[in-house]
Amino acid sequence: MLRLLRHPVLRRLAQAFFVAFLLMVFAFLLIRLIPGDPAMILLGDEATEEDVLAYRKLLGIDGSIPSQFGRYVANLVRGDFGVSIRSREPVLSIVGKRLPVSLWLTVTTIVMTVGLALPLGVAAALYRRTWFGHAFQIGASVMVATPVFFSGLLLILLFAVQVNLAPIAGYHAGFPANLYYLWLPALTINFVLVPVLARILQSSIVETSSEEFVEAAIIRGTQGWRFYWRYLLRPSLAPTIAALGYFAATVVSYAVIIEIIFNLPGLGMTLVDAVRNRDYPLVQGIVFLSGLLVVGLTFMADLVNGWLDPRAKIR
Amino acid sequence: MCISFGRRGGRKLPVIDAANLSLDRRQAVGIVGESGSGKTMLCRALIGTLPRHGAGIVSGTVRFDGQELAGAPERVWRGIRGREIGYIPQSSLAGLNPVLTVETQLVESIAAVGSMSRQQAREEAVALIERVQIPRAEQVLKARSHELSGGMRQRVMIAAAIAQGPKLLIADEPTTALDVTIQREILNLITQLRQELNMALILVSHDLAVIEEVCDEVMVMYAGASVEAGPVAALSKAPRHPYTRALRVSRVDRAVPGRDLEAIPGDAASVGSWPAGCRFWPRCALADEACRRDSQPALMPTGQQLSACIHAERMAELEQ
Amino acid sequence: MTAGSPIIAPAGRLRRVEWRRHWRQLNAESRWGVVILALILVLSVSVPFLSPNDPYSFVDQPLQPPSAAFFFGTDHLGRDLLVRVFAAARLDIALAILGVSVPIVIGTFIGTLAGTTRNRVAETVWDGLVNALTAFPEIILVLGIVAMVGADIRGLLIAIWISRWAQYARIARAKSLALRDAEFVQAAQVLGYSQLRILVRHIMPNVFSEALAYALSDFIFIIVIIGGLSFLGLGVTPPTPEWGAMLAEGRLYLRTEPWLILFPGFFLSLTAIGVALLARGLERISKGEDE
Repeated sequence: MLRLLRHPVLRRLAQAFFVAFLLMVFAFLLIRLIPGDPAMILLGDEATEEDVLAYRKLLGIDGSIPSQFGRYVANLVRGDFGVSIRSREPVLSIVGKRLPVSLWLTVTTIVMTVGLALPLGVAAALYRRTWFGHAFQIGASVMVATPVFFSGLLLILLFAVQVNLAPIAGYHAGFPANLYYLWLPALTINFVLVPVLARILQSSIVETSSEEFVEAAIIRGTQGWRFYWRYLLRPSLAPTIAALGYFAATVVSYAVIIEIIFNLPGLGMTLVDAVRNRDYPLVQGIVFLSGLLVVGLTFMADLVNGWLDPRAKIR
Repeated sequence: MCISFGRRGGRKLPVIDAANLSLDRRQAVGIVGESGSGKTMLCRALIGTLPRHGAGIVSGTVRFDGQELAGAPERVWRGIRGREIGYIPQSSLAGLNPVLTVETQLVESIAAVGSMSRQQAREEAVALIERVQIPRAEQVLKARSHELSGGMRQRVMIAAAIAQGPKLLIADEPTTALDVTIQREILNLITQLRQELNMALILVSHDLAVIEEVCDEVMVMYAGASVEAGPVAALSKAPRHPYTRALRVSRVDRAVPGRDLEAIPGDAASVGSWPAGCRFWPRCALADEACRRDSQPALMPTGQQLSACIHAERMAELEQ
Repeated sequence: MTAGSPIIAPAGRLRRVEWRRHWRQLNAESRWGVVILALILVLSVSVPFLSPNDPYSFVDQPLQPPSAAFFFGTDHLGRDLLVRVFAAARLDIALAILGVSVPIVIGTFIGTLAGTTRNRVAETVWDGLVNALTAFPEIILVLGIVAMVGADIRGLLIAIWISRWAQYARIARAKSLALRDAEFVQAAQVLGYSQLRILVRHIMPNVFSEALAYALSDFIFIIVIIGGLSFLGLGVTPPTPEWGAMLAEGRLYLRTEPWLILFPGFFLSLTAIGVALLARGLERISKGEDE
């Protein structure tokens, strides 16, 4: 069993499961942060003893802490994330309904990130010493420091109010019609993400280009797209992909604010509503699941990385 | 030929200003000199990839098969590199792309020649690997740089350099980073390949012994200039430049047991601070007023070779 | 950056001459950062102080465009936007400093503690813990904690403190791992000082300088979180002047009165840019990349 863990992929997987377990513990502890008795807070002072007990049961905070945790884990394993206090709907079914919008937003964002960051990073590396390189540095610093809820409003002002290229807000399901509603939100997230990734890519290309194998390839007569892809870009991609995995959490984070600005009925909007309504089980479920999503995305980025750069696998 | 570093608009710094080298088909010429003497620069000029920003050929010619290459556009160079001139770079141990397999890189070199199917190119790659005397070709083709030993990597680099059947092979210090035993194997391999493939060879080394073993002719460089050139035998038996003599005497394999190695006194002149007069005078036992006063002398015939020392004849007398 | 670095010198001991000397050591980037931050600080102190208008009082017609009387115009309730923007600057910067300073102390302490133990199991569990805590998308974790503790300034600060210490702990652990075998630590052990004393007096100060460098970039993140949660209506709430909350209010008038979001948004971004420039400049100096 322990020998199996020597395999890098399996070891990563084991780490991911361990982290997922800890996420569960955190999510469980979250509801214990509430000062006072959550049932009393939700029901008010005039609640009857019976109501309070029923509510405690609903929230899973009756009985001793270990037994609470045992029930919590058992329920999660069965796919039971509790029920929303407000709508009495199972948390998992609410998430199932809202998740597609968020996933579409995430996928659109990442496709756009790759499409923009790759050429920009390459150009910034190749034309580092020209006006373009300097403009890129300054532009990137400004963009990274602009909060999404401001850049989002600016982009709405530009693309939806001045030029009529996007709706101000709203969503309609169904591909590819939904892209009309998603491209501006995705661009807003990329307003922060692309400069960061392009910068990472730029510096790793610059680093790669001073490696001896690049010179050796030129001397051997390698040229054209094959040279750029095999000798400059591919050896430089690993740090960028790793960063993309790392920024998965940032994308999911910013998606919350973006969904509010653009009125997209995704998980983020559900979470914000749940926070406003003190819908504890729903908040708990979404926090846990989003953590799980990030762990999964990071794991995937690790796998892609190992494929792109065999050197990374050894470490 | 004159090559110099320099930024646009800034002061140009000559690194080589008097180097002449010519060779016939199937000939093997060695270039010897200390580090900083311009050996690598010269070789790089020969394949049109002078390293570092701003380095460029200022004057002089590079002629290959009657074609003038100095100042030729990149397009022309692309037809030359790999195809006509194969090159084994100085630090070739790091010359393989770590993310690609050996096969990918070899096939890519082979396929550059012309229309060839994947299968054909693959077979060709296997043949190449066998040609550089690597056993278990299939296994090595699947490997990546970090999975190979230094000697193996060097063989792969040689395979890549000869993949397109060049007429000239340039090897810049091909054995410096290797163990002594492997050095010998690699040198033998290069000699053998040269004969099999009818290639001319330029071998760069700081070690005169290596050159003697492999080459017919040799050129000695000091501080950006060729100071002596001619048949290997003549230079090693009767050097007509004090620097060549010093190189010969400082050789480890000729050392007399029990006596200290005779090192060349002083430090090699570095780029940008060459002395006036003959550049070797501060380290030379024969130096006199004329050496300090006149500019770097040109190569003049003396004995069987050419020497850039004004005291060449006196040296011949001294040797006897 | 080493502990004796002149860049971050103990405050209060800086005399005029020293200021000038420090200024000369800065590069262009960090100078711009200092200038921008100084400008915002001066304005945030002077504008509310000098202006006759109060950030809460209705002084004129609502939604007036910028004019000589009201440089930034008036908001949807007829309050002076200029005064509100700089009153918000005060609050936001103060909250962000408060948000950074607690995690840096807690995180550095815990991280140093973790870095100086030599227990294998503890190390594995520690790695998992920190990885798990940092795996949560930042804003979602903050939202989760705010949901439990309360959607107000207090809840927001507690959420930031709970969710941000792990990064500092990570940095501190890495640094103290390297330090625990250093000679001066061993010397202290030979002298028979208590473990806690060695930790607090000898290791932590050395770890701290590295944490401070990270704190600058964390400051940007935290000021964005404060603005972001307030924008969502879950942090600082109206009528208190706060950049994020002002953006949320102004958002409704985006089509017709865009200056309602432009001014607060611009100064929020400018603050972040100033800190980012300072951070990058200092990082370059410490790496010795002076050009």
